[in-house]
Amino acid sequence: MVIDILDLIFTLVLVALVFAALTSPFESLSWWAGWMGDETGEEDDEIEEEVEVLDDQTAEITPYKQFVVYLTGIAGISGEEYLPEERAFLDTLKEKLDNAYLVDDIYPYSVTNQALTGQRVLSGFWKWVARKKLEGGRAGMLVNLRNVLQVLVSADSRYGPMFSYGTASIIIKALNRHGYPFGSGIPVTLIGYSGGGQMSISSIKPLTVAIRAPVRVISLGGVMSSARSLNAVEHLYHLCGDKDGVQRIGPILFPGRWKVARFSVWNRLKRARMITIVPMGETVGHNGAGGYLDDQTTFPDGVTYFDFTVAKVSSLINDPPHLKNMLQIEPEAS
Amino acid sequence: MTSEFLRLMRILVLICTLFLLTMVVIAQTDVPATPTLTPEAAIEEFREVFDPVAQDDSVKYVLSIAFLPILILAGLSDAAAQSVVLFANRVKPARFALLIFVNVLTFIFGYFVWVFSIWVYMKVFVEVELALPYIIIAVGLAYLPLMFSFLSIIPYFGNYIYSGLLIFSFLVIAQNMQLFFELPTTQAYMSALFGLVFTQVLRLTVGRPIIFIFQKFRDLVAGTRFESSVERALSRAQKTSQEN
Repeated sequence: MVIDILDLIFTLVLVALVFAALTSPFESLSWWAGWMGDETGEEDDEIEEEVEVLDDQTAEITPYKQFVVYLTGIAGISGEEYLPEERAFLDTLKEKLDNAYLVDDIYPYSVTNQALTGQRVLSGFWKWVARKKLEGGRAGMLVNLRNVLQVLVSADSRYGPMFSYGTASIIIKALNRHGYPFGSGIPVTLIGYSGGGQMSISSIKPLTVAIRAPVRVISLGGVMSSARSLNAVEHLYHLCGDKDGVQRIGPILFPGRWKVARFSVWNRLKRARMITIVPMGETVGHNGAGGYLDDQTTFPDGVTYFDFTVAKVSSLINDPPHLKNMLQIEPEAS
Repeated sequence: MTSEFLRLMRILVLICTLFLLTMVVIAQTDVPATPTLTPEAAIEEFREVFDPVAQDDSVKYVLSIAFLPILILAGLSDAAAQSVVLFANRVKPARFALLIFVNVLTFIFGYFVWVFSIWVYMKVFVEVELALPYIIIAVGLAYLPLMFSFLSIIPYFGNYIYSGLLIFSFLVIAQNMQLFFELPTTQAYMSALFGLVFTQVLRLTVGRPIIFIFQKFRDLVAGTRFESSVERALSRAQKTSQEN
């Protein structure tokens, strides 16, 4: 009897999982096909035109030398509500940045920047999940699962290109909202935490083409494939702690990250020193206690993991090491 | 009337037996072999029912039709799996449904090409003329795994699932050729492989005008120039937006 019930539960969970997986690509696909009313991929093709219009209006009024866009991890429900440690990280990072503007209102797991609790068919369900999550229940795992599926959509060679246009389009709209001077060539740095790493790298190419400025990526324990879009990156910094088992999914799951795939985008860029692996310490993990954003655990010198991460990320934004290398190389080349 | 009814019932029983047989063939490693349910025994039973009935031309015809539901379901599943190209081409919902229908027809056409190719192989290279209904069944059963093609919609892993199903389907054809016609293993695999090569040769030679007409028809249904790969559809969308 008990086995029968367990069997039934297992079957139901499996069916629900397969159903969720089967339906996961359709948000980005129907967006691209223009089936979503006002929010259509077709309209976003016109982003470049909008950008040109904005050129003259904003080119001279921004005091910032760089724009930084934060793409949250798979636990994200919306672009406004982050985990407390993520919120603290962003607030502290803002204070540490020199002449850089931080954009932190993006929800990268939806090509329409639509929060799970927003105008969706299942918004009621996600609101319930959000409530349970706040109460400390395990319902938050459902959000993780839903967003992991979106990461897989982004990494899929069939859906990925369309999804990447969607992500690029919400980033461009966010930059627009925050006064990014299009056409100025001001670099944009994407910070991708966890699954946000994949979202960052998949959007680089359409983003670079649209804003005509260099795009850098800082992956904070990012789970990343060897997306073709990476070809357009100026530099990728991949921050990873030795205890971070989540970021290790990338090199295992995606064949382009395997060492034998010598000519994959990832391995070619790595050889060209356009990808830098930044070790975060032997004891640093992905999230929670012992994770990158843990403000309780400390290194032997007394610095918390949180402060260390903020210092590392802010130094990579304020003083990117790859630019020094580029400066060193240029005189030799000439 | 009664004899017609009985004939129909026998055909239905036959189809059910075939389904059972396929399940056994597909999962023969998992199903414990019983004296009555080994693939060979099942084939024997099937022949006992089928051979006398197969003498009748109308039954052959009905049997070919009887496989259509399997083909249509497999075709629908396959069309759903391939629908990403329709989205990439920004096809509107009504045209989308029509194109799914066109894809199902193409899929069924591909099935008959494969059946024909195996018949040609046996006739030309082995100099044996196989009964076409048998080939229709042998290949038709191999299309059963493709009813799960829709699972390839699953992001990332779907690509591997689809490849697995195609390989599975190919192996079942070879297996069925062995079981139905008692061909040696090499011969059975060669006949199935020939089906693949033959289809490609047809595509590149005499099939070209047909493919051209089909593409024109598909463009007409899509209401735009239809690109058959996601990549080409995306780059065309970009070009169009730049031109505008």
